[in-house]
Amino acid sequence: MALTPENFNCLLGALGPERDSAGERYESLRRRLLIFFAARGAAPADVLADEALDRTARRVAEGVMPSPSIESFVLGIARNLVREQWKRPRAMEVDWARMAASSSVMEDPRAECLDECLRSLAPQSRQWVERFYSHQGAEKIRAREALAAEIGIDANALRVRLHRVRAKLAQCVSACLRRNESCEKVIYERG
Amino acid sequence: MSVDEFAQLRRYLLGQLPEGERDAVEDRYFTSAEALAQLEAVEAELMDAYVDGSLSPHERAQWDAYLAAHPNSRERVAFATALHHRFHRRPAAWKLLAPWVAIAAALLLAVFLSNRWEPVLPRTPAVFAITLTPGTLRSAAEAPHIVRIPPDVEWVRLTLSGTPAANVIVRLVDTGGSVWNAALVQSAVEIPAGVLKDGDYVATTLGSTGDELADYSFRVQRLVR
Repeated sequence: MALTPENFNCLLGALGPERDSAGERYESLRRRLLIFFAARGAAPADVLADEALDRTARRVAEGVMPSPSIESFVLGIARNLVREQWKRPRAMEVDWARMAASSSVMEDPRAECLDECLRSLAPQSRQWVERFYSHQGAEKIRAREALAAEIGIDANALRVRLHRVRAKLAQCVSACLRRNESCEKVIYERG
Repeated sequence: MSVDEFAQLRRYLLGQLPEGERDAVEDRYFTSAEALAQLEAVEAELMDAYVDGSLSPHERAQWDAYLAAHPNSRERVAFATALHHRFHRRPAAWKLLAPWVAIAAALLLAVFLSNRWEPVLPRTPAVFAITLTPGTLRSAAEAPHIVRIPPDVEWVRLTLSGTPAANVIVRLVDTGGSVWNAALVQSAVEIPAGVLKDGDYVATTLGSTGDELADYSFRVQRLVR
């Protein structure tokens, strides 16, 4: 069931007094749920995540104050959903097209966007990405350890920092692709 | 956080943890922003390992199951692939072969042939190309299509004859049941050579609704130096 605007507002209200920070907390809750369902092999994770959030929102709208935190409460609901799904016949099987790994990058528009986005990174971040991703397999781990020693931080802390740079890069590439698509559409419509 | 804890997160995402440990990991990342950041870092590392072919066949099958459940997997795998290719693969041939570059290359070749001078050129990953025709082995007596992959090959380009031009997915399955998926572009797909070990494979083409179009059986033999 989809979240109604009323229930969504109730949930946001419970997540924090400021709408922006409540929205961020909501997004991070949804990311947790997607990982949770995918790691449990419960698909489709987005539908189940929305169902968990909807159930939580309805409880909040009924006046229930989730404890000890909304996150723990949602986790409990998510675990129940997994149990329920196992009891049901498996109606939804893997949709291959949806998970298709487009590994063929001949003429991949991402390549140009990626170059552009790499250039837009702060020099230090760009250097990290170049040094880390120019290696493969076990060499990558050694490169990360060497880089961490150079910077003077723990190798595991560097893993998280590298991930943040990678996530920023992924966001930049998505925005670039959307921009290019809308430009192409305008050119096509004018042409 | 210790290396062991990162290893535990990796096992969690691959669905390898026993119930008690799994629940403890979930409790942590649902209540701590730091734990979530660490988990997402490990998730990205697995995605990178998936596209560079460094997951074991068993891990690959487990990660396939994760991707099948997670939304936006296609886009996330495509990004990881683009990132990998940015640092490990040559640019498209048409970009390299601008006319003036072709002339310069011809001059270099002439110098090379006459003086035995070895130009220092940037290293480009080796791509091994083969074309397969549809067909499934019906008995052990039938001779399979043998694909002999030379050493040092980093990518294998499979061209599947008789496929439609667009909206086709390839599902590659080995005898152990490990699965590798990719979108077909112009009837071809490029696979990290590390994915293809010695053994029998079936590549199945799937239409946009998941319907099976054709099977291509082949046997891989990795050649050694």
